[in-house]
This record gives sequence, C-alpha cells and structure tokens, in this order.
Amino acid sequence: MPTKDLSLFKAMFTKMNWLEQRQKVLAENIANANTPDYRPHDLVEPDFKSLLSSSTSKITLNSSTGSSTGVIKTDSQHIGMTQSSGTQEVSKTKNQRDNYETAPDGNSVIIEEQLLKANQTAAEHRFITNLYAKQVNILRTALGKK
Amino acid sequence: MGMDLLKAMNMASMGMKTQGIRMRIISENLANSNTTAKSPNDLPYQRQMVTFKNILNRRTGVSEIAIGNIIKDTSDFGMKYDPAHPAADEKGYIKTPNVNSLVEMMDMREAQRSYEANLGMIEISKSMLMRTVDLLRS
Repeated sequence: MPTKDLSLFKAMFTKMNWLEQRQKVLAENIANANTPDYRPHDLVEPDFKSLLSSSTSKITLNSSTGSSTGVIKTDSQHIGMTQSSGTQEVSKTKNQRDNYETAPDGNSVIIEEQLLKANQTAAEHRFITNLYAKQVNILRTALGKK
Repeated sequence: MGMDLLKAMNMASMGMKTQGIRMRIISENLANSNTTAKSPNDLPYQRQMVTFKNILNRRTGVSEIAIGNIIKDTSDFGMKYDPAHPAADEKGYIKTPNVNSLVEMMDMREAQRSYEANLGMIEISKSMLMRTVDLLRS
C-alpha cells in the first residue's frame, strides 16, 4: 500500500499540489505586473475540510481495495486507471474581484499583495512539509525501525 | 509534483528578462536625451517605449510574458534657440529629443521594483522546492 492511499497523506498531497499551483498563478501575476489591462488571478481554495472528512471515512475501504497497483498516469488523457485524480480539479483559477487599485493602463496587479500571498503560500507549504516529515516519523516508530 | 514550482520560477525569470530589456531601453533613452539631428531636415532622437504581451507556451500550458514591439514616442520635440547649431532652421531653432528624464527615472524605478518582485518570487519558489526535496532526506 503506497503512502498516497493513506488519508492524511492524500490530503497533504492535494494541499501541496494546490499550493504549488497557486505559486505558479502568483508568479504569472507578478510577471505581468506592468502589462496593460491585465487582471490578477487566484486559485479557488478547495474545501479541504470535506476532502479530509471524506477521505478519513474511507480509511477502512482503502485498505480493502489496496491491492490496486495502479499504473502511473503520465498524461491526463489516459483512461481506465484505478487511481483517482483528485488533484486535477484543484486548478480552477478565478479572476480576482476585490482589487484595491487599478492603474490608469487597466492593470490591477499590486506587487506587495501578490508577494504577501506568495509568502503565505510558502509558509503553508513549510507547514505541510513539516507535517509530512512528522507523519513519516510516526509511521517509522509504528514499524519499529527507530 | 514540483513541476508547477518550476513553471513558477520559469515565469518569474521571463518577467525578469522583460524588465531587463525595458531597463535597456530606458538607459538608451537617457543616454540619448541630448542627441540632436545633424541637419535641419533630420529628426533628433525619438524616445522609445516597450510594450508587453503574453504568449501561450503550448508545451507548459502557461501564458508567458514577452516584449512586444518597441515603439517610438510620437509626441512633440522640444525647441531650443541655438542659431550656431548645424541643425538650426531658418529662425535659429533646433529640435531637441522628446525624452523627459523624470519620466525615465519613474519608469526605471517601476522596472526595478518589478524585477525585485520577480526575484522574490524565484526565491520563495526555490525555498518551497528545496523543502520538498528535503523530505527525501528525513
């Protein structure tokens, strides 16, 4: 059973994927900080609470279907794989509505705001990676290899 | 996993590149802020401006920023009374470039700020990537 099937790991995986995609969107915003008529984007935050609760309820189900060895998907168009791709639906971008200022050329990117968001994303990412390391340590302890 | 961070860094580097080109054009303008014509029929140095555009990179699926056309500022030239100048017209006036050093300074500051923001983005993305890589060590 790969660690990806464990509920918490799966949730962390989704969260990290979301953070990385958000970072990409923020980088796009900053790169376009001087493009006329450009409006900044942001990612829609998925409902991590329901994601976690739905995955924790399946914790016993997963172990019963844990025999699925799953082929690695190298393309999103591949079909017939048993692995659920819950990470793909995360990447919904939305136009940011509440901008506090728009330049005369129609650009509404505030660099400070975008950098703030990027730092927030990095902090959350650090949190998740620490959590991941902790979780792995807990598993190691349970396996008696410490 | 991690690919999006690489894309983010790539995007930020494209932003830095465009701001660098913008900086080059600004310094050209500043360097030529006193370049007049050689004869009365010629025009003096014309201020240049950069335009930005987005190109969709089909390989990565992201729209990258790039420099569009470098266009010339068509605003009016300044006039200066200097009858001894070879480019002076019959009334003794010469045309001076339409470069305003204050405007160029403002542009330069803006380019610098955007460049720094992109640099910050690269640093943040790099630290995130390094933390992900460090997970392998634990």
